[in-house]
Amino acid sequence: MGYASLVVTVAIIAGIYSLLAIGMNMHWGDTGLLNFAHAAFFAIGAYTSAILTTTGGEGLLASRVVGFEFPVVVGLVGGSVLAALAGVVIAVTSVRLEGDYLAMVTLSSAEMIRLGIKNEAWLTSGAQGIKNIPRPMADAFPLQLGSVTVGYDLFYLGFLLVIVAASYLAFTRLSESPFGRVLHAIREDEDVPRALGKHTDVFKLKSFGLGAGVAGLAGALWAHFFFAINPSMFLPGLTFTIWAAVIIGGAGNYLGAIAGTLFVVLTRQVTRFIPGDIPMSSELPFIRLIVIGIALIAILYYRPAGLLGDEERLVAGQMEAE
Amino acid sequence: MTTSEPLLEARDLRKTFGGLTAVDDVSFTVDRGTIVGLIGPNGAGKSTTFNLVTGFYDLDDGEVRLRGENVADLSPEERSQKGMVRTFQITRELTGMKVRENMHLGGQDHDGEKVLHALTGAPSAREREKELEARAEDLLETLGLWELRDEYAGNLSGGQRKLLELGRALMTDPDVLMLDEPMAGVNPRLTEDLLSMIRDLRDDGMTFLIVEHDVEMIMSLCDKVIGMHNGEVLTAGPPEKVQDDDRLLEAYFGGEV
Amino acid sequence: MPARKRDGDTGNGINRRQYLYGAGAAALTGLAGCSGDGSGGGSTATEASDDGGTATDSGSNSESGGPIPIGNLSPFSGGLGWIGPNSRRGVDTALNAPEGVNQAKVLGRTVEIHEQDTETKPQSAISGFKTLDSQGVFSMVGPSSSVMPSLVGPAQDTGLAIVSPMTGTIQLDEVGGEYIWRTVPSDGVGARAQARYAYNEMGHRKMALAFKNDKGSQSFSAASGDYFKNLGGEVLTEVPLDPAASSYRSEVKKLQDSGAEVVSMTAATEVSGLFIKNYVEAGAEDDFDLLLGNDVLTEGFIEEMGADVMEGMVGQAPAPGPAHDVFLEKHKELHGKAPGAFAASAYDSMVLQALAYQKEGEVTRDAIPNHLYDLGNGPGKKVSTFAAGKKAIENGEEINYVGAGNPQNFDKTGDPLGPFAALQATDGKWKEVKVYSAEDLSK
Repeated sequence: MGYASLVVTVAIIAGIYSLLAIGMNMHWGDTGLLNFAHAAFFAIGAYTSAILTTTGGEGLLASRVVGFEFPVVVGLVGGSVLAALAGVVIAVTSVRLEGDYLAMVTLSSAEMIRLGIKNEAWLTSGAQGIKNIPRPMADAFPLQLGSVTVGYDLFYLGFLLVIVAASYLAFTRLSESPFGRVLHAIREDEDVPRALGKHTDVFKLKSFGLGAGVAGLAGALWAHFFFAINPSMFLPGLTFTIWAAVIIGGAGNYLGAIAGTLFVVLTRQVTRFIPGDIPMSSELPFIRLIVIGIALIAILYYRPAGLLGDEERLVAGQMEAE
Repeated sequence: MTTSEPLLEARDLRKTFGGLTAVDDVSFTVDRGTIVGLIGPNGAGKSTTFNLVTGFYDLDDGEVRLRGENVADLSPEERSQKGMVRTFQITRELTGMKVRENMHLGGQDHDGEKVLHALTGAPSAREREKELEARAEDLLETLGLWELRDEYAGNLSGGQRKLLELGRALMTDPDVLMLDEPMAGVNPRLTEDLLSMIRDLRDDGMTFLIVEHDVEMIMSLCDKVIGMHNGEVLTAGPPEKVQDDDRLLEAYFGGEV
Repeated sequence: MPARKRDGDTGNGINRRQYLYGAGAAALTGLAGCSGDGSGGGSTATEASDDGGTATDSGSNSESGGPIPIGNLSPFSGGLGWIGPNSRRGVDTALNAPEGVNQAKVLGRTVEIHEQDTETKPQSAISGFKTLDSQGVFSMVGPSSSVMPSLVGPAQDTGLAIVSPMTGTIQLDEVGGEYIWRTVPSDGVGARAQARYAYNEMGHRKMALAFKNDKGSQSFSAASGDYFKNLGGEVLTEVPLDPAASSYRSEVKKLQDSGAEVVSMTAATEVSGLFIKNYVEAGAEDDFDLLLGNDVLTEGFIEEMGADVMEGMVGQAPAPGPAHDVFLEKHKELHGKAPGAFAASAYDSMVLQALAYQKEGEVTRDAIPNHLYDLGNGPGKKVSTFAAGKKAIENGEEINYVGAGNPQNFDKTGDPLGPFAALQATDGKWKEVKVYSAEDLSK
């Protein structure tokens, strides 16, 4: 038991969700794209990696005929790439759509993908989900280093933190580059970069692909830590959770995206320690959501730019008459 | 300073919105190295014409020729890349970006806008960015915006935004610069500076098509003026000629000549 | 007049702000509908403290007389949110009824339940599991099929046993016996009863499968079909039933065309209801008989569908354990109503865990893997309450717990084998038509 183990696990969840938030921040924070398909990109990454690294099904419920036993690293790369491609494909059909229409298309695409996963059992095992997903380097742990034992979770957390840090650096760098400048211009007013000769559609596709790719990577990392995946893990609620994290943290700021994720994950975990014998304790799961909802409202009201968002940027140009 | 072939030519432009004909058989030419003004009362079809020429509206009929090539089927960004760059009537500056970022955005052929180059910090991208910085500094100094370079564009006054938009367009090194009411909201002293700047650029070989409300200013600035009314070209020619065109005056003043 | 109609001309900061609010509201709505954060799984001895912690805790606590923390990780919300409260009342009956755990006391100590909600979702289940782990529970009453596969790894890694009263999935048939246990029979056993009845009693040789497209239903139908084949029958086709469909006419037609004599149709009440309606409308009664899943074996369902319609349809249910009637009385007394689904197995799960600690003589996480198998299986004195079991153990006797939900005779992978009854709808009631013994149904 021990709290250390819980802390490590919660940190791993926060790390994986941070990757999702980083991808979402590229879409919404940098480019202003309303993406409601994030759970689907997460699922594609998880399923791709799981299928690439496990055998086809065996036993009674063996509806799955596809399976490879590639090393985990192949799964991680494959999951990211396929999720990125899925992002581009969804975007190609809808990137010319403005704001809320894009939101509708992405939301419905995500559900289509999830239902596809649920129904194409030959590929995904359908509703039964995929289990026995291998963990990378699982045999090497627990590792004895002098008097200290390093457990697998701790190793995985370290591995994950390296990936989160690398993604953070890469996406921040992109955001601050001339490439990011065009994305920001699209976010502010797409006609302007067009008038300046930028192929904004191409930039939007790249943004969508990159954000979806990192979400796919998150999915793959999730699958390889939690052994088993099934379609019910990838409901649209996951997308909304990440939205909440990005908005709370401050859209447009990658550190904010991570901070928002920590807030959401910790809120959920901390409320699990509320003792069961208080009044209304059976309503806890809903209270947990209400807490996050209230935080969201409070932040939108008092600090619309989010915890770490740029308040000045948000209000710039809002005061003018006309 | 005209050459045999016009740099920009509109032929029989036509655009209807629902049953309303906004632009009907509009044709005109813009010669290289000239400043051409587009005038007319409200609703004359100036802005629609502008959007048709730059590709932000799709043509119902007609051709837009740039250096003799029909660009009517090209997207706005493709036309822009061919050297025809516009500004917007109501400033569309990027409020949430700094003044300097606004300027740099105008840079063309930038390797740093490619993902891989941006990630790896490729030398070609860094060099291009340096060039843009120098050019932006020059322009911002000229436009009197240098001190505001690190402000969000949204915090600028209306006139300053007009200047920024002009500067941003100039960053693209356009062949023909299309300005939609560039002087609206700019204070008179700056207006003078701007006008002389436009003349200097013209003398260096740049071409302008300007929509402007201020008839007096247009007449003093332009080499050629096109007068529009009710979606049609009423008259075109040197300012002194157009100035005296009865039909245009009638359009402006509702018959009271 | 700017070109494409976009955000207002005043600069789209305002628009963006509206989006922000919109997105916020959307996120809120979404959150209310779901919930999703998750939480993690398997801690393989993250810190050196892991094993040490257990030992220290048990050392310092076991003689102290403070309550023993035991978890109840169940679906209290989400798709199966209605089952959690049943489990809670079953566990409570085990603890607080006369001759219960907290009256007789485990090694002089009472049991204190720590509840965690799985929200019927794997992420939350893992989160809840890790929370219970950190709270130092020694074992837990476990969750449903939908999340169990995600907990197998974590349970093994932490050495924290789960005894689930509601996991039917055949995915666990070959898993468990150490940290993974269940007190409800595998769907495989019920499915075998179904297949056997169809083959032996009804004399069918050609079966088709129809199931609601979810984990549990598919698993049940697959197991039935598999056993039917083992008996010598033939499975002609499989037809998934989309729970969102507004009719199953084409599915019924497909089954009619398949030439099947009998169809194993597994689904919850809503899907089953619609399917049966379409089945009757299509006159498919002349083509094939229906075998139903567990969820519809209530008289309420017969009433709803009409006794005529249901007449002759076959279902199956575990024959209740010997202690069922006593449990029923206690439950009614304590909670003022009859136990809901899985309450009896939850009761068994709690009593068995308490007995394991009593037998271990010490409260540690090893008690469940060490003793659950022996406690459930003979030889030994048959007991069905904690008080009786404790007394026998104190007298140095071997015991054989016979439970309320089930006799609780475990196989080597932690699954109970028990008798199953085939039921037939007769005059608006489910009548027991055949009881198969555990031996009949073992593989």
